[in-house]
Amino acid sequence: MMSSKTLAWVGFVLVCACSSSGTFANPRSFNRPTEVAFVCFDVVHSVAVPRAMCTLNADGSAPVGFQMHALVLQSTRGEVAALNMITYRLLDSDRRVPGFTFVPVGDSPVAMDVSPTDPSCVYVANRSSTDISVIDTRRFLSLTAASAAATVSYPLPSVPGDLRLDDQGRALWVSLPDQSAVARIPLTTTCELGALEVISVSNTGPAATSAVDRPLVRTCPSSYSPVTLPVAAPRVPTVSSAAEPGALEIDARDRVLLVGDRRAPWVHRIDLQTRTELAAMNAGVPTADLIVTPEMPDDYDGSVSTTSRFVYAIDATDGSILVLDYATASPTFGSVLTLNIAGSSRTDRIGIGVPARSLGLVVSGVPTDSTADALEAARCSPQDVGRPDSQRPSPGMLRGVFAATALADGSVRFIDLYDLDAPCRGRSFGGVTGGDSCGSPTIASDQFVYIRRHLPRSAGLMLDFAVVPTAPTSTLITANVSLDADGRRPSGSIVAEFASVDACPAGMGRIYGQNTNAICGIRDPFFASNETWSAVFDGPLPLSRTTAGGRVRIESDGAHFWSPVDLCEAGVVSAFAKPAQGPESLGAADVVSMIVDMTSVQEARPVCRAVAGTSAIGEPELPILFDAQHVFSGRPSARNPYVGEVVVPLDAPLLSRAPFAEGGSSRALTVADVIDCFGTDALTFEIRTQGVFTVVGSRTGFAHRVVRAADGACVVDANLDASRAARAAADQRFDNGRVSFVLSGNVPLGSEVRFTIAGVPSQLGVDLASSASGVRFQTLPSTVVLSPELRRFYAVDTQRRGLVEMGLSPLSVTNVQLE
Amino acid sequence: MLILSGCDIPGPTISPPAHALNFPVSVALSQAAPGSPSRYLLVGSSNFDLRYDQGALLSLDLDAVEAALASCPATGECALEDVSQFAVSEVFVGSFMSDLQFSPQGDRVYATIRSESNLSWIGFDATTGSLSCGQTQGDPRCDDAHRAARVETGCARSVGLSGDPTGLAVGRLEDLTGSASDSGRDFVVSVQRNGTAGLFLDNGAGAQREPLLTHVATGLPRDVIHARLGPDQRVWFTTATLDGTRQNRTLLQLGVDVPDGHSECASVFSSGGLRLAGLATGLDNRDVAFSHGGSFVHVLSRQPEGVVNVNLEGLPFLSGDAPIDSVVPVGFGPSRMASFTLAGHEYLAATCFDARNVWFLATEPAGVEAVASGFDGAFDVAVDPVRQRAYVGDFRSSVIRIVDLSQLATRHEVRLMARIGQLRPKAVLQ
Repeated sequence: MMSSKTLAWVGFVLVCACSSSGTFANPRSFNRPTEVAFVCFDVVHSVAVPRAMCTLNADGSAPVGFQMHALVLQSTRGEVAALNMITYRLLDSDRRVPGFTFVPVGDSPVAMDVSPTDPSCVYVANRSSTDISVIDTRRFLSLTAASAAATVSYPLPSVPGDLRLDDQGRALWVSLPDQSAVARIPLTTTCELGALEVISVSNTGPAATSAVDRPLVRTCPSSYSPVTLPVAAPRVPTVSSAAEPGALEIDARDRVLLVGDRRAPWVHRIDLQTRTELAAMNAGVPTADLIVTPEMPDDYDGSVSTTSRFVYAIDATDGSILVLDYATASPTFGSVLTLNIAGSSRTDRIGIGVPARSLGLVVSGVPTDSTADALEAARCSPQDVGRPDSQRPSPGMLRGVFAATALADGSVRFIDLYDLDAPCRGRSFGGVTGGDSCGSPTIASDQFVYIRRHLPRSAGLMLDFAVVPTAPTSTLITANVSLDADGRRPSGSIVAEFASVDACPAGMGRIYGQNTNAICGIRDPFFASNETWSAVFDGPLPLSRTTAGGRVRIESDGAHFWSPVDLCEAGVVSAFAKPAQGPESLGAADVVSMIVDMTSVQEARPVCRAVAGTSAIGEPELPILFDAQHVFSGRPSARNPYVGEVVVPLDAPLLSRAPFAEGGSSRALTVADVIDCFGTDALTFEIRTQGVFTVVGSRTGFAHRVVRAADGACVVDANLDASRAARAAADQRFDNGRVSFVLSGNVPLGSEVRFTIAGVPSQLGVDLASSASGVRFQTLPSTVVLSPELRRFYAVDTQRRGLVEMGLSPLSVTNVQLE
Repeated sequence: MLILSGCDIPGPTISPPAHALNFPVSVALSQAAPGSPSRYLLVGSSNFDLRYDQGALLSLDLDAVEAALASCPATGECALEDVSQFAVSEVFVGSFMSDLQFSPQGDRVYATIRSESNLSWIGFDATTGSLSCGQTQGDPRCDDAHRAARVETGCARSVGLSGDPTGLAVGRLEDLTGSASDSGRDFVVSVQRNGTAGLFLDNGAGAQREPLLTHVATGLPRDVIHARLGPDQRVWFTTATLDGTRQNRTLLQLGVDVPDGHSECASVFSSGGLRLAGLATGLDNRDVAFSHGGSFVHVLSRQPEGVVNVNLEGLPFLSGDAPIDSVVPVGFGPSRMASFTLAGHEYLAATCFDARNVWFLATEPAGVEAVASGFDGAFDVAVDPVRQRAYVGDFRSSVIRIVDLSQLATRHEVRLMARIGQLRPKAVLQ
């Protein structure tokens, strides 16, 4: 019934044309699988044996008589499925029942573990039945007498959050979130649990601190413009009335149990030996999944004597990934590392851009319990010989220590920690001597190398990165021209153009300009990003528009224009809150730009035509502009569904309008005329800058420092990083930490300049959702885990993919689907 | 001859038998004072198989249901097959009801009826549970006046409603205008599958008030599935699109603007959206619910099948995207969702039609608390936190199933305890 078939493919997030494919366990038999564990069976004697017995031979074949099995937890049905990982066949655990039958456990199982050395039993923590199911491992082999063995249930005092066997297989640890505690359950004899001991965890810890990790980098070319990471301000920890232990992780080297907390900012630590609580680490936020790294060297060439360890954790509030310094001797032990450039939305997080759901550690090419010395000894030497072509260093060759993460978008990505092949990347190796550390690579395509600890692993082999490969365009009304190689407009054109930047800011380099620095950008391959930028003179703030939903009310202090948009969040700088310094001081105050479509009645009135900027019936209306005097968001007086509010005196003059001649005299047109002509409801308006370019990035958006004050007023918070800038004055250098340029003066209203940065290497990963047909499967991976014995990496997908198997040398997914 | 003259030959029609549940598609609980249980449960039967000439709306006495439950065994599902012992009132409405909502005052229910492409409204007596919609003695059919809203003519504009209504949101007009004179008046927004939204405003107050179709917004995304009124008084609507067609992964909102003193010129307008990026695929969203005082919106998604928790005060990874806090998988075919508070904790109940179960999730920390199994086709759900019961319309088997939530907060478990009605034969919809 079960057969392998080459049906499905799993796509790569690679740009380097690496191909991949997928091995899927039969998803139709699974029902919301969430976890996987591995058990080695002696198939001759039908008994579980230490996992090492199933270590594949050097040629990839299974040792005779031993076959690894994956146990996959079925969260909805409360079952554990067994899958032979050599034959890729599901096991029918009860042949008395037609169809494939899995082993039942308790209700809503949440965690599972099995000892690698004594796999007699499988332990499953069940949430709804509040117990632990203990399964005789032989139960999974349906043909043995033991297959009838009953699963034993041990009650827990409260619902479990996670479960782990300790490193010596002598006790089970279970987090009990409702009791602010963890439980230790000794294993008195095989498959029998002893008396449960509850160990409370405290809801206190040290103050949050932050630090910058020592860069561990391998790049080719070796010269680039490195960005200096500032120490991010520690986050203000979330306050919780009680600790709520969740995810568990065993630090086998130091014999410490690490406990993530679902409500409090602590990563609790418990000494496995003494069963006492150690000082917690302060992550600043609640954490979900955790992994701890082995001790790793801080260099690739033996020049540094220090070593490092880290704890990776998922921020439970947004799925971002943070890193804690975990080297015992480190002066910054327990600090959250800065991992991104100033001005980023999350400077203390790994820049992946999608919520993470699970973390896994990949230790490949060396034993999983390798020390720093062992890693150093296993490093690739340029003089290495004898590695087959298929094993040569490359972006997809995962040999060393890496963090893997399963993301909400259905992809699995990898983060560099210690790449054993780094010393051989981008250069000649294999007995060939000579040449500098970069150049003359044995693998011609491995010319460009970007490896940095804690950064997503690069999948790209790019000729050049982070450049503007095509000429910027400059637009004015219907004229759309390409600027020349130095960003200049054609002779006779009046569109905006670039002037030369004298010198690119620190951390940046020229990304466009043949002879001059027309555009500077980040030339650090680790922090540059592909992005399209636009600069529009007097341009709209992208999140400020309300379409046919604005309204105005007349009050004693003037006209109140209400919008369903949060105008502080949109970054509006009012005349009242215009600062004297900083990027927000450039130009004049922002303006309200109202768009009208006159009815015939309105158009018949000369004053309305004048307000709309038309001189005759039938002409197209122009935007109606007036200063945003006061701007608020979420004031108590705001009436649902309105959030934003612009207050303008009724006699505030309209901008760019000639005086209106009436009855032999002329007068300035005002906001009162607007209301008189176009009413008070169903208005369409947006906010525009005035006298400056509005600079918007496709990823960055409109960066600003506008916040909501206590009274609801939108004000500039000068304490925030000034690189959150999006207003560029003509003839002045614009610098937002990502791009820098000067746009020339005499800029006509409505000018727009647009350019695209490209060539930044993609992140290495596997896209579980992709298929050969182009249809994207729904995926939501829950777990990623390594099997060192199979030299494979596995992702469990709760949705349509089931169990996905990946090779690591190089990263690949075999194209077999089980059915 | 008859054909040539365009006459319709009336065939024999069969009215629904009294108190029959025929593919229940919507359930709604009557209003209750804080700390008090809801007294009545309204059940809308869709008449999905067109077995009868009408759909039906049935009012069930929950005190009577509780009394019957008292004699049920402590385990297993108790069969309360005689619906009549709980039914206090019934009216007939059009077939293919798609949504059912109480007015904020609790004295009326609104229903979107796909076969009539319009809004039906039915008066409700909160004391007796009786329904009134112009029916007569012996003929429980709602009259035409309650099946199609008249059009507001006071504002100089042309208004017309078309398309398949799939959801509605009901709120207090006073919450929009801030005017005490609007007290007791409702506003209703219905969303249509063709990308339009209709705004209905009461033209009076009290029991005699009548909803008038006041404005229709067009040009909205198509494939609208459902709508909910958010705490911000905006209407959040979900769409379900397919790969390669009209892809839309944005959760859109509608606002209602009511000019001072001129409610006849009120309008409904698009007031923004949240892009559900970073998911595989985020294109099929069935329902929304709110928690944390409105700072979290929870999206019941079918791609992936899970609840997407969005922290509206959070920071998105990319500008313009929804700040997704987490995604919690649920069963196959998630369909409808309800939020409720029990023992001080906020929960979500998500029905999974294909998985035939109902998932109960905590909102903080987000996670699965319990799963109730044993349904045939769980669809709509209403939760009474005081009675600690979830009432689930089991579409496939044409019964109402009751889930005991008394152990949810303490032991994180729930129990399918009873069903109301006779099970429809399985072969009907396999």
